[in-house]
Amino acid sequence: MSALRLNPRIALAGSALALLAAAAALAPWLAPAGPLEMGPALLAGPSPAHPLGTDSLGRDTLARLLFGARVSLLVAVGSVAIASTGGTLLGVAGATYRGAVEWTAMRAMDLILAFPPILLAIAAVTFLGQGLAKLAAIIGILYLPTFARLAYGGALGVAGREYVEAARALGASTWQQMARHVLPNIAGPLIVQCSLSAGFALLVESGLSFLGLGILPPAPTWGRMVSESRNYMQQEPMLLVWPSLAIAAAIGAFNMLGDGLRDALDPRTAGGLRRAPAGVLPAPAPTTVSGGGG
Amino acid sequence: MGAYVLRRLIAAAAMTAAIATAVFLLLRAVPGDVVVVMLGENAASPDKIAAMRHALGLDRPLLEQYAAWLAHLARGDFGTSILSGRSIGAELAVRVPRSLELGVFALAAAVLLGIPLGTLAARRAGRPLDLAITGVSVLGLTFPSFVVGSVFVLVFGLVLHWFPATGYVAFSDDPLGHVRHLVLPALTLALTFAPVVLRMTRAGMLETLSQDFVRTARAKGLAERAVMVRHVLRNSLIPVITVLGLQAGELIGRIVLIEYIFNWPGVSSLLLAGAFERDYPLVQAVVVVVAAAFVLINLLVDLAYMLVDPRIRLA
Repeated sequence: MSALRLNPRIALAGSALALLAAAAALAPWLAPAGPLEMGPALLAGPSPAHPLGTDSLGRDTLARLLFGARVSLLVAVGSVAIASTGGTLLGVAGATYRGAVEWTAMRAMDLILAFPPILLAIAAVTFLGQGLAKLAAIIGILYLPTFARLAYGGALGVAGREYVEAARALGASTWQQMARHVLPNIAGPLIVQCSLSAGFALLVESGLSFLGLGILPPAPTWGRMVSESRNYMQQEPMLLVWPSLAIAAAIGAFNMLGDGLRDALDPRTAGGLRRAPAGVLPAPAPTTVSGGGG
Repeated sequence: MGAYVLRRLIAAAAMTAAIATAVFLLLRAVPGDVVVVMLGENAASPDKIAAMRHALGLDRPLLEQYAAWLAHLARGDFGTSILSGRSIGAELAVRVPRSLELGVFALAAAVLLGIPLGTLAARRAGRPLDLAITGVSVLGLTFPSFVVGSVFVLVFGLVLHWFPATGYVAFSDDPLGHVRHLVLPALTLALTFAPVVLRMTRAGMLETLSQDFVRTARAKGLAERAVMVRHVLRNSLIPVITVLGLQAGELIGRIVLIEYIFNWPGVSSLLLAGAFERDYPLVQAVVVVVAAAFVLINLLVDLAYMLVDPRIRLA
C-alpha cells in the first residue's frame, strides 16, 4: 500500500472524493435549509442565512448542491458497481468457457457499444422510466462492455500462465482458479477503470439531468441546477458557476484518481520499465494488486 | 484487401440488423401497458386504447410486428410520429443535414486546433509551453459540454453580444446569419473534442519521435521540417484517426446536448420531444437511424485506416 500513499495524485483526488462523499452523507446536517424549502429571498446573493445565495424559487443553493452530490455520487458509484461486477463476470466467463458463452457475451457487448452512449441512455430512460435505481442500472449497462472487454482480455492472457496451469493440475475447480489466480492478476486495470468510469457516469448522469431526463424533479441534481440557472444566469451567474464547478471537480477527481491508480498499479510505468521492447522482457505479472507499485 | 472490405461490410450489416432488433424489443421493455403509458392514465378510454394499439400494430402477433418493423425500415419507412402525425422520415430528412453540418464543422475545428497544438506540445515536451497546453486541455476534458455551452451562451451571446446566443436561420434565407448562429454551438463542440485530438497527437508524436527510423531520417541529413512532416506526423496520425472513430459516439452524444442548449433544430430536438412526450415510435426511429449512422461512421473509419496503414491492407 505504501506505493499508493506516495502517489500525490491519488492522495489529492482521494481526499477530494472523500470530502465530497462526507459532504453528501452529512447533507441534512450541513445544509442551512432544506433543498426544496422555498424562502422569501429570490435570486439572492451570499448571506449568513444562505452562504451561496438562493435560486429563482428562493431555495438555498448550498443545500441543493449538497443534496445534489448524493444523487450524483449514488448514481456514479451504483452504476460502476453494476458495470464492474457484471462486466468482470461476463468477461471472465467468456474467457473461461469460450465457445457459445464467449460468443454471446462478447457480441452482446459489441451491440451495446454500437449505440452512442447518451443516445442509448435517452432511449432507455424513455422506455424504462426515470428513477435513481433505474438511472444507475442504465448508466451501468453503458459501461458494461468496457469492463467485460478488459476482464476478457486479461483473463485470456492469464489463463495460459504456468501458475494457473499449476493450480489446475493440483485439482482447483474452475471457479477456484478464477477467484484465486486469475481475478487478482487482472484486478489492476479493472480498478483503474472503476475510477475512470465513475467520472464518465457522473458526466452522463448530469447530462441527462440537464436535459430533464435524470431523476424526477424537484429533487436537486447538479445537472438540473445548471439547466435551471440558464434562465437567470444574466442576473445571477453564480447559479451557473456553483453546480458547474461541483460537476467539474467531481469528474476531475475521478479522472485524476484513475490516472494515479494506473501509474501506481501498472508495473510498466511504476517499475521504471517504461519502454521495454516487446519480447525482450517477459511482461511482469504482478503477484498482488498493490505489489506492482514497487 | 477485398476480403477484408467484404468482412467489414457483412459485420456492419449484421450489426445494423441487431440494432434494429434491440430497438424493436425496447418497446416490449416498457413497464406496464405501453399504450396506457403513452396516452396517460387519465386520457386512456378503452376506445382510444384499442385505436392506438391498432395504429401501432400491437394487436398483431409479435413475429408479424417484428417482420413489419424490419420491412418498413429496409424500405426507409420510419412510420409516423404520434405527437405530430407527420412522417418521421420527412422530419429526419430536414433535420439530419443540420446535425451533420454542426458535427462536421465542429470536428474540422477540433482537428485544426488539436493536431497543431498537440504537435507543438510534443516538440516542447516537459517545457512550460507543453505544460500550459496540456493543462488547458485537461480543463476541456473536465468541464462537460453542457457547462461550456451554457457559459458561452451567457458570455458571448447575452453579455458581449458577439454572436446570437441561440437559434437557427436557414442558409437560403440569410447566409451570414446562418454562419453567425453556427459559430457558438460548433465552437463549444470543437472545444470539448479538441483536447482528445490534442492528447492523442501529442502521445503519438512522442512515441514516433523515439523510433529508430526518425533517428535514421535525421542521420541521413533530412531537414527537420521534412522529418517532422513526412516521418513523424504521418506515423502519429494513425492512432488519431482510430480515436476519432472511437470518439464518434461521444461526439454524437454531445451534439444532442449542444443542439438542446443552442436551440439548433437538428435531430436531437426530435429525439428529446419524443422522449418527453413518450412518443415511442419517434424515439425508436431516431435511435435506429443515429445508431446505424454510427455503424456507418465506424465502417468508414476502418476503411480509412486501411488506406492509411498498409499493414492492415496486407493482413
